[in-house]
Amino acid sequence: MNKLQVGIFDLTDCEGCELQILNLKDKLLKLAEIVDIPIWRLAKTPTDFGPFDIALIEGTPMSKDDIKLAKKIREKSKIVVAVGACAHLGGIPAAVDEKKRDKFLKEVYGENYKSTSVAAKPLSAHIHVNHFIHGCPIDLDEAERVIVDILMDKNPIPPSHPVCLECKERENPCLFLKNEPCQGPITEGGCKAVCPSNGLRCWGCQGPVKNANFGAMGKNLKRIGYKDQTENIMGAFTKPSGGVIPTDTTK
Amino acid sequence: MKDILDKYICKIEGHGYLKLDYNHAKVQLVVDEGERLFEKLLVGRPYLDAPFITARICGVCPTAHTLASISALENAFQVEINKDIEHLRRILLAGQIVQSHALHFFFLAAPDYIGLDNALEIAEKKPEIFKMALALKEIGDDIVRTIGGRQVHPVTPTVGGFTKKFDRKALADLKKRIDANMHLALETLDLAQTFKYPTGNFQFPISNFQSNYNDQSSKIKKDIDSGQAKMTSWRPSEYFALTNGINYDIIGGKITSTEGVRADIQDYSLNIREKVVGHSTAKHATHNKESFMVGALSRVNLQTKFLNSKAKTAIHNFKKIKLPSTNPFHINLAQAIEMVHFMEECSKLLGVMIDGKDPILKVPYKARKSEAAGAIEAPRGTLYHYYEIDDKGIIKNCDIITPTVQNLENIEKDAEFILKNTKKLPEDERYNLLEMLVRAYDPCITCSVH
Repeated sequence: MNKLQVGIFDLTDCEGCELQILNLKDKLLKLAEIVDIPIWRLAKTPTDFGPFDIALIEGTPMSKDDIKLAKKIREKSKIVVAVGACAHLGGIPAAVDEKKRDKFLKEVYGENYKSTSVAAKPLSAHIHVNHFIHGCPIDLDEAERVIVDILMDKNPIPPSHPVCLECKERENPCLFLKNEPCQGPITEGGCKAVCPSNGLRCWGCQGPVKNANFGAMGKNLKRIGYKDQTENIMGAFTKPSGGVIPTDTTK
Repeated sequence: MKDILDKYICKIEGHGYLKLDYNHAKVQLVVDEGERLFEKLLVGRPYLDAPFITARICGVCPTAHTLASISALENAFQVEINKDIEHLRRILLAGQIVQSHALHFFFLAAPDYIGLDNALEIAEKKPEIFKMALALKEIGDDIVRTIGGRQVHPVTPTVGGFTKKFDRKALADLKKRIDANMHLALETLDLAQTFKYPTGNFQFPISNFQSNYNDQSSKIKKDIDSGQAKMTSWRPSEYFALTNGINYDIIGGKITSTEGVRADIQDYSLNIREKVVGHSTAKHATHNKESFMVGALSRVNLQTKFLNSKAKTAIHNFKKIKLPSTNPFHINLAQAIEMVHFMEECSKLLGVMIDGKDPILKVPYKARKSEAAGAIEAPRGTLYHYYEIDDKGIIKNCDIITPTVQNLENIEKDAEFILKNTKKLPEDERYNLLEMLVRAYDPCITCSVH
């Protein structure tokens, strides 16, 4: 039987999720035994340009070439997996106010600068995506679970419980009760609550959990003193207008 | 034009490709990443967002960004951290450097020197090297995970210290794991000496290397003056790193160069100037309008005498290669030297902490209206962060200069030097040499467009 062809790709982003794939170490070697990885720019000279059974894409399409590349990968691939918060949600780059992008570009690069890039959006805003691995960066066990499910021809189902559940399991003191703007209650789990377990409030990198109550979160953020920061906090990993997280309705 | 799937230089971080004029020896390293505008995205957010958000500039050196932003903010608020916090941060940053160097040295650069293409081929054909690679990468990850909470995008470091307590047993166990792997770092340095670094036929008189070293590099200066240090035959650069005259410093210190710069970090913008270039979404930084180098080789060139004993002894026993070196391919050798140095450094600092009292890892401070820069040595060189904070603790202004922005101009100049001196070689060989040069520099193109 022919081996499955897996391509690993990156668009504009920090490449931390690709490093997490490398950090699978021995498991990655096992994967490489059962599939072919003919193309992975960060790790090797390409040996084949598709078609691919599975394409893992990290990052958000921002440059013209990113968009061209994403479309080309889609054409050549049966299954496209968005890897990490940038591909899933637009990530931190999508937290830049799109309306101010031109102004910001001039401030950073000068009046005469001509950018050919667009604002950061989820990969799904540009091409159809079949599956997602959440997180900034992706969690190693989650990555393994999703990849194995796909290899087994299963539909990888997202965790669908909030970070709080995984945080409580670890018996961490609640940061929200300490008036920190922790996003655990509205954020999907699957990360082992790694941030709150280390004393840092949740930033929402896994994306919103099903039925997330943004209104209540907004109200509570105002109550604990983050009146001017509600959208910055709830929209850190995606733009409120980007369609993934609704705007704060409590205004 | 090349297919979009094959457009970019492979085995480097981020998207870049070479635009070459072989006849006139002109090189442009085109950086093709979307502008993520981190400096603007931070404006209007609380200062505590900076260490978390700036980590996302780079997945390879997130810890460096987190620590640089913390350093700038602590300079702004005049936070006096204690020795324990300082030690743990130095351990964390050393772990970051080992992590990043191990990844780059073995999986991205080494294939060029041992005639293989990639990590999987190394695993198959040189399993002994692959084992070393995995073990050293893991020890770097282990250090960052233990102190930082996670190997990519650290969680625990914050302004005033850490969000987490560490027990001495965890630190003692970490020290044991580092010590048990120390021999692998030394073996890696042996391996690095066997690499065939391109030397070309480029002869440079030693006087071309400006030996106007600062006072702490007097040994290097003496070596050069007495002809003991043989410069390799490369285009000389100005080498920049942070130094403090006491140890191989990686957090704070003075901005120092081989051509006599010795400046306060707060004056970084007077010495390191960024310019926008037409062919790249990354800016280029220059000093006095000239290109310069930062990173492992710069640090080793400037601070050989402050390396820990194991690295120093190993260098002393080098048979062929002499330091300081102007050969940019020796960046990879310098990475191997630094893996030895920083593992020993971690072990030493952990030893101090294990013997001490339980550390206090958060100091009180008051945020206030202020502005300041901070700088640290990231794996690829000096990383500058600057913030202006208002009276409510909101970021008003931000500036970040990454190591790769500082190296880009030098990469192009070195590449042009190679083209000038390889006119007799076939084009594909010349091209390969240039790609190899870019990889040797370990550019972080992701970082350079932030």
